[in-house]
Amino acid sequence: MKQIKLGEGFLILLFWILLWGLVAQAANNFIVPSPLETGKVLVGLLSSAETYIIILSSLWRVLLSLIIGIGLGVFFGIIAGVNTFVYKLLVPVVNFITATPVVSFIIILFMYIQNDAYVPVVCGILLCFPIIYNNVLHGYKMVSDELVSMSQVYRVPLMRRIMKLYVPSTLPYLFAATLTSIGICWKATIAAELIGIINNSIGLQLYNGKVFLEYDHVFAWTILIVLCSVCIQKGARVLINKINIYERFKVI
Amino acid sequence: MKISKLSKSFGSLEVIKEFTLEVLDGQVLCLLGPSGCGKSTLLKILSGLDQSYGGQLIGFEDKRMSYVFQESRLIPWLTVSENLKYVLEGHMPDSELDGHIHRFIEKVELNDFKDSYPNTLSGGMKQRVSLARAFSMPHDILLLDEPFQGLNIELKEQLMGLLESLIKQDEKTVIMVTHDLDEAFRLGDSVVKLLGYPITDFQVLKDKTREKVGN
Repeated sequence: MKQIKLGEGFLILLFWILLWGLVAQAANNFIVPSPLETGKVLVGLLSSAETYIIILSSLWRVLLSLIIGIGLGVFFGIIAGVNTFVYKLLVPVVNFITATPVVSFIIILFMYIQNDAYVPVVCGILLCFPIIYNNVLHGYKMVSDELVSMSQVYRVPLMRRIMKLYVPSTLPYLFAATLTSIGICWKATIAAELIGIINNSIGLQLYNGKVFLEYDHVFAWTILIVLCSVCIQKGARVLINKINIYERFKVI
Repeated sequence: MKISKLSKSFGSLEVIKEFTLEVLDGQVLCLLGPSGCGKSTLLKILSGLDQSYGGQLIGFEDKRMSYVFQESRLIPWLTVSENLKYVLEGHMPDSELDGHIHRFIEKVELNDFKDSYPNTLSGGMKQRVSLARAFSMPHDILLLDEPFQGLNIELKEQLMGLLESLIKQDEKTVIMVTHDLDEAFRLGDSVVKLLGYPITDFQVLKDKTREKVGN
């Protein structure tokens, strides 16, 4: 696919903003706020310290769910790779989690978890777990039979096989799954915050914007969410590329 | 050590049938047979990689095995020395490990490549690493599965010389399968031609050990 040049990108953005402006004008700048109004609110938000506290609170929830989700996904992915019984045991669980809509999870979690603030975190964990698990398992199964039989002949202990053979083999898959999970986790966390009306959260800001008919706030916060998501994904990509062991895979 | 009435089938296809052979300690035994006759299967059974067979392996149970495969089977994300360390760790004190690895890398003349990854090595170099791995590993029996397959004549000649000297220094039991008569006669104390399909019998083509005993 051809790369979009900077100038071209600016023109494309300008086109869509103009179109947005026209739609807003047609809707009397109320149901659809104008780009100018949204821009003003966005600038206001960016100059307020409270905005950053809110973003960091939501970000902390995303980070927490990612760390736990990745940990669980890697652990169970490798265990399921080593042990067929564990794999079979987890098949219905993983299929159930994958097939269940996010909103169902959120509602069910609010029904059973006493502290609402934990719901977005648990929701994030549940969404990123199957992605990480499936990718780690796939990476595990991609280890060549030849290397496995070599390890068997030389009686390499299981722990060393896992650490030196299976884990490095799953790393490229884990990295790709982590990047996917970040986006999904971010969206799910905000959805859970909104439904649960969680204090100090981006979700609550969207909810307030809707309830108090401040549509320009809803639009401004949505732009902030998109910007944050892009920044997190880019940051994660840079971080992953800085990990030396990943460099080793690049040369193969 | 004795292979006694060994049988192996893949579904309805029999590859080895009631095959019996004695292996002497310290002997370099070359098993000669055409490609696809079941030689590699026999080695897999001896190494314990394949455990679904009939018959008995007497005296092989407690033996430590080293194996040189047809392909080098190196872990791509580990360097040459790390590949050796992968199998050697735990078999000797950590303080001796690096020196031991270095000695064997030196023996296969790969000093300058000890920190290289397998993808930067030629086919012959990879197989030299595989030899270093096999010989550096404390073992009672060394299994060689057509270690020169796919290499050009020059490389094969180089590697055979290297293998010959390593075997002499090692003084352990070696079982090598090959389809190359020259290879077998050059390296083997005994050369045994596997007969039949499925393999049922053998014919002794060379028996240096018996000559020694006779002398």
